Amino acid sequence: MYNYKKSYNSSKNGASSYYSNKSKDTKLSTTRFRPDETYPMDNENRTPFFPVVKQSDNTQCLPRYSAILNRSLEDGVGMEDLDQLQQDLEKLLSTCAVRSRLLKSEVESIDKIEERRKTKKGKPYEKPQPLKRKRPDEKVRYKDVKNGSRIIKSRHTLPKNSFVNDLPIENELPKMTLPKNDTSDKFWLSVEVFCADVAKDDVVFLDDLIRECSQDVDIPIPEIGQHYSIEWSEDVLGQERGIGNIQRTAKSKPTFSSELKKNGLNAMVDTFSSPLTQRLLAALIEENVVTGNPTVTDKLKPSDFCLTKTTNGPRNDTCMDRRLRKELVEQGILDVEDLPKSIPPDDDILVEIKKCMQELKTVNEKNVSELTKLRKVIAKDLRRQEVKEALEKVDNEAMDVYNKMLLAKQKQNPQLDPFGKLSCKQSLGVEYEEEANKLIQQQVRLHKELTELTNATMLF
Amino acid sequence: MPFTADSIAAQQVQECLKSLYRLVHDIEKKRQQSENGINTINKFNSQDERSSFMQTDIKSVYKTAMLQAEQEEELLRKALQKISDIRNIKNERRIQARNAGNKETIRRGAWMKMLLSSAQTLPLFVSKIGEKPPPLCGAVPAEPNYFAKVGDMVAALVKVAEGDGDNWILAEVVSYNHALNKYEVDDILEEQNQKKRHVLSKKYVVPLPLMRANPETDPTALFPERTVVMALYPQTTCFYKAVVNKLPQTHTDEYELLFEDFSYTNGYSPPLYVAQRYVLAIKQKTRLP
Repeated sequence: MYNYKKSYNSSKNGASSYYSNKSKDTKLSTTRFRPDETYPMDNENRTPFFPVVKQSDNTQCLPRYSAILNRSLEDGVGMEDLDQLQQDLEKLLSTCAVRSRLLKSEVESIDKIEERRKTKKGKPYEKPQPLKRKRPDEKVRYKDVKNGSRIIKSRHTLPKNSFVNDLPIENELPKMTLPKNDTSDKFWLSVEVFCADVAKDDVVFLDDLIRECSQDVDIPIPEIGQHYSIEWSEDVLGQERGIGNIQRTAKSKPTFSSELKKNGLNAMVDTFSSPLTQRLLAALIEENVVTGNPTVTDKLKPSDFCLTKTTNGPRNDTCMDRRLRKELVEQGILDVEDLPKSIPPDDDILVEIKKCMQELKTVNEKNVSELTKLRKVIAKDLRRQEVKEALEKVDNEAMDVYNKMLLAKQKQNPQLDPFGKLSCKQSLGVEYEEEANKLIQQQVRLHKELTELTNATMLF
Repeated sequence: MPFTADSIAAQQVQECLKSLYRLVHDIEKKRQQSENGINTINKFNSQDERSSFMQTDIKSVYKTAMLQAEQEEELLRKALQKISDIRNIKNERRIQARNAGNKETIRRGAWMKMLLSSAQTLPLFVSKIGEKPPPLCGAVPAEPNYFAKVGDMVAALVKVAEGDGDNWILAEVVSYNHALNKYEVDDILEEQNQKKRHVLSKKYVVPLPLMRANPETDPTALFPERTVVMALYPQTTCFYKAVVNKLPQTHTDEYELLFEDFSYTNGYSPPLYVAQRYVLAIKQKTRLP
């Protein structure tokens, strides 16, 4: 007899009497929310309530659990305890899980308040954004938990089984007006530049670049002009005279000459890097002119040496050199012809300029070669795009033919379902078949070419 | 003591029970900490001015409480796992005993009790934060390629002998033939199997949930109100069409259902309670071959 329903109708009353105990059960299970009364939260609604089964309620809420706690190790847990113990533990686990969710959302909202406070200065007020990794309606749900009456979801007015056909429908969540999040759009927009297909414009641009770079970089080096030190030397002279007039020498002279004596004159000679000055000084020392004729040293020393000593730059050397040369020419010791025509060949700046030009040339060559390589790849990529387009076209055509074939087949035997096998191929008309074959072959060929081209361009 | 499969199983069970005892004590310690943490929070919150500079302090108190809750949760999960381990061991022994030919003789009344308690002790799924309920948890259907294991309970559409059409009955899987996609199932009521076992195609067999969904944390895994479902009529072993009237509110609650019943004037039975385990998504009306 399979008619259980009928045969058990008599016991239905018994069933309902069993289930009438339910009300007691629910009462028992709601005791976990008792702490709500123990901690009256009069701080408006702001203060959340965190559910916890108090240990003092153990015997009342968790009878088996507390009984086991009070047992000795020998008595332990028995098989008969399992069912009730499981329920007690589940109650604890559920409470615990709800609590940690509430705590988490609370911490997140604190974070949000802090963040808002930080950004407050700039913007007046921003709409609160939904918390990450959290469904927007979740919090609402927990608020309901607090209030005692738990509304789990919005009521569906129509009877609707969201799990029909073994596929859960995702639209269960109540619709919310979420602030528009266009971050992803922004991101893709910024990336677009790098991912977009290569266009003809790019080719033109590349060609221009290559042409520009192929030209020789022959920047003429201008003839060397008047040395700046010539102009400067006048200034320096004026300055020196000024210094001399202030009679700073009065103090510096004795110390300087004593220093000279201490260090030896050769050391002094070395302080002049310019060859001409060195030679002159060395000659003077050799002939004891410096020591013997204080006037010479006086004339040369105070200002020049001081300057040299303090700055010790090439500028002063050159100035000195020039002055010496000038005076030598004036006094007829040297001829104008004897003087070197221009700055000596070891011109650092010229060397540097030449080096830079060489570098520029090398870089340019490298650029051109890279650009040409790129140009080749782009040519291939353009071809790839063409093939891709062609393939798409063929794909569409193939789909069309497929649909046509389906239609034709349905017309032939309408009771067959549209996804059945192509069993009556021969009657479908040769022209379709031929067309389909042609298309498929074309597809294969294009696809092969596309793969090759893609590999080639991706290897760059 | 000989090392029979039974004695080994018994030993394993004993081990589990022992560690369960220890776990209960560990849990109690953790609960002490958690409760203290919550008390601190409540003290904090009951102070009148929750001025802004205290926010960070509150946050750290919350975070501590969160950590404590997590630790407690972990231990609780462990303990519950032990319980389900024990049940699995027992169930395996039962299946093996049956395969060995030891017929269990359970009367109908006892069966009803067992069905009730097995529904209550079905493992409870409490999701971790951000976790989705797995298939066969509450109302979540099985994956398309899923097949029920031997010993699992299923709803099976079988032809009733006396021309009463066909019925979804509660049955137990005996075997599954992968090649034919066919189940061999036993009616849960012993006396019905004396004739022969039912061999059914996969589409006439619906596995029962393997886990209960926790309404407090995973309400999405429950059938929404007004859903038409297939449910075990109380005190019977047959599934009938019903409408969900009320959802379970706690982990121990059952669905409140209105069964389609034309013996009542409005076409529906008064509210009846059915455990999560015996409430299934309705299958499209299918003809028997």
